[in-house]
Amino acid sequence: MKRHFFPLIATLLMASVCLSEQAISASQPVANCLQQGTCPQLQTQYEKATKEGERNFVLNHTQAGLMAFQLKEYDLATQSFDQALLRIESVFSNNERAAKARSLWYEEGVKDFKGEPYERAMAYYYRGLLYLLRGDYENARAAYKSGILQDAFAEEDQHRCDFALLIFLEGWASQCLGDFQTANAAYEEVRKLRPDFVPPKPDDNTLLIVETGKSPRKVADGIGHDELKYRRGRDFTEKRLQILTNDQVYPLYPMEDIFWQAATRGGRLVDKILKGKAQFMETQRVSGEFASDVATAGIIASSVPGGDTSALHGVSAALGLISVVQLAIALNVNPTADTRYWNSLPDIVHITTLKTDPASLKSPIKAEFFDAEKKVIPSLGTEFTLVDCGSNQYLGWTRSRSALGK
Amino acid sequence: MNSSKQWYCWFPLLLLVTACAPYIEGPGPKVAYSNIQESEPLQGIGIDSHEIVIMTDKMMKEILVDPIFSQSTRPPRVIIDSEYFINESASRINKNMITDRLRIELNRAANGRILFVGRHFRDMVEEERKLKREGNADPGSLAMTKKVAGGDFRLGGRIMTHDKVNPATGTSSRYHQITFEMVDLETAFIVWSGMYEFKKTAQDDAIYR
Repeated sequence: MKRHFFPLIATLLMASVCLSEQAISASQPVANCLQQGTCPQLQTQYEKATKEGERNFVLNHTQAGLMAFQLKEYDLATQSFDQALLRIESVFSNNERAAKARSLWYEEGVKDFKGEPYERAMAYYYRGLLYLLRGDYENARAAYKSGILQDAFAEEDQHRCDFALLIFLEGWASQCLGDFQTANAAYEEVRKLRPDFVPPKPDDNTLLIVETGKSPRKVADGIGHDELKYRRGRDFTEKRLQILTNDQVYPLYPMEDIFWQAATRGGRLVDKILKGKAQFMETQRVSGEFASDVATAGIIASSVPGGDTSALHGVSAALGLISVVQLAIALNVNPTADTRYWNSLPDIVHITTLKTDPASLKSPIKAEFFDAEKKVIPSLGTEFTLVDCGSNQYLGWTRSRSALGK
Repeated sequence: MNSSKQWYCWFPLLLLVTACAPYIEGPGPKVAYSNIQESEPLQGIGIDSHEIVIMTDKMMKEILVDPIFSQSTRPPRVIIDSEYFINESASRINKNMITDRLRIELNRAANGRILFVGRHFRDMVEEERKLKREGNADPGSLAMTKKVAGGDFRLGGRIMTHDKVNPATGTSSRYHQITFEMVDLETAFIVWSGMYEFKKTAQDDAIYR
């Protein structure tokens, strides 16, 4: 019995070493942030990114990038998103580590994180906003086009993309460039997905973006936790908002439901992701009729089956029965679902465009948030100012929930 | 019988040691210089360094042998910058990397047969001219001119892409078409055109979700 005990201890020790984080050297701006303490609110996140290395690089840097973006640390945000996108866009060929990691002996969660399509698309969304802020509208447009491609869906050689937010922003970037033909083509595309969308006026020069709610969640389900499922973010009630400026009230248009983007592929509801492949629900394709009405999105969410607790009981019972070797073999067959996710993303992204002269703004722009019953949520009220992007273009951005965590 | 049982017990450890191998690495990142004219082992479907080098070299050679630029009695004045070189593609790129390399390599190879107007340095030139004319700086060693040089020709062009994606296989391909055109700044005639195109296909590695 003792003889069996030592191999088990040695195995567990080795496993802990194997699964511990790989350190990675920080890029220069991040190193400056860490060593010179110039970004105290980002220190912990960048320390985590450095400590956890390549395995969670994309995850940690997209989260750090969004935090930096919220803090108006635009250089750091740019660095973080550029580094993350570099990894998202890169393909390793004939790489030994890739080949080994491809082996099913690795759990899904041990693999380098590159994000699901909606997470990758959102990385391009924020990178595009950073380009807009710098007045680099051509690269902003390129970022949005790349984001749209992350959402592209191929079926019988027909590409589909229903990420209306990115299509709209591609149009807006074109409008900022004075390329109204391309802009209008993009707005027409948005109208196919959002029939009640009103395109910006040609002389609109200000884009306001407000993000509400909390990120979609990924959960492991099924026997062996091998099924990845999506759930809407929880513990928030805001659904709508309006902005107030110069005694004028403007409603914002709910352009994108990020949970919807997570839980669908080309308009089809994903039941689960199993071994990296989406398995769709036995429902008819839900075409681009979604859903400026957030209530509709709620219906979509409720149609996704809830977590099955009996499955969890089944798993623990199974784990109690099988030996270490059998567990390894079980992992070989059914790798555990990778539930890492970008937890600071919003639930809904709202937009509007205006023609403004920021010099005439008497006070900062105020955002008021409402719940599903259209009651104001006083605790979430926020104020923000416009950023001059150059060429008489302005951008205002805020969110109901801080990306900096609790 | 006993020894076979022992082997069975150590088997999971053996598996883990094998699995851990890629995560146990030597100290520090390794840095190596790469040839910018060769494709990189780490690739995407965007524009890489070797494409910029090959593309600008090709355009340079074509411009240098064009009679308008090579056989003109007076060196033509050319403006090459990214002002009218538009990125309409899905590839994020600093366009100056293309136009700067083209201008610099052309300037070196032309050896005075073509004159390059640095329109992107206009503010710098204006500032110095103002200092000189206001007497806050001496006239320098070269003759002063009434006006800055005008251009005869200017580079325009576009970067365009066409993409295909198949998430089922993780395959994406991107066709780049990059056009270069030299425009007569008096008549608007396009006196020279060049094009560089390439298509890249990549398959996302199975290790990623």
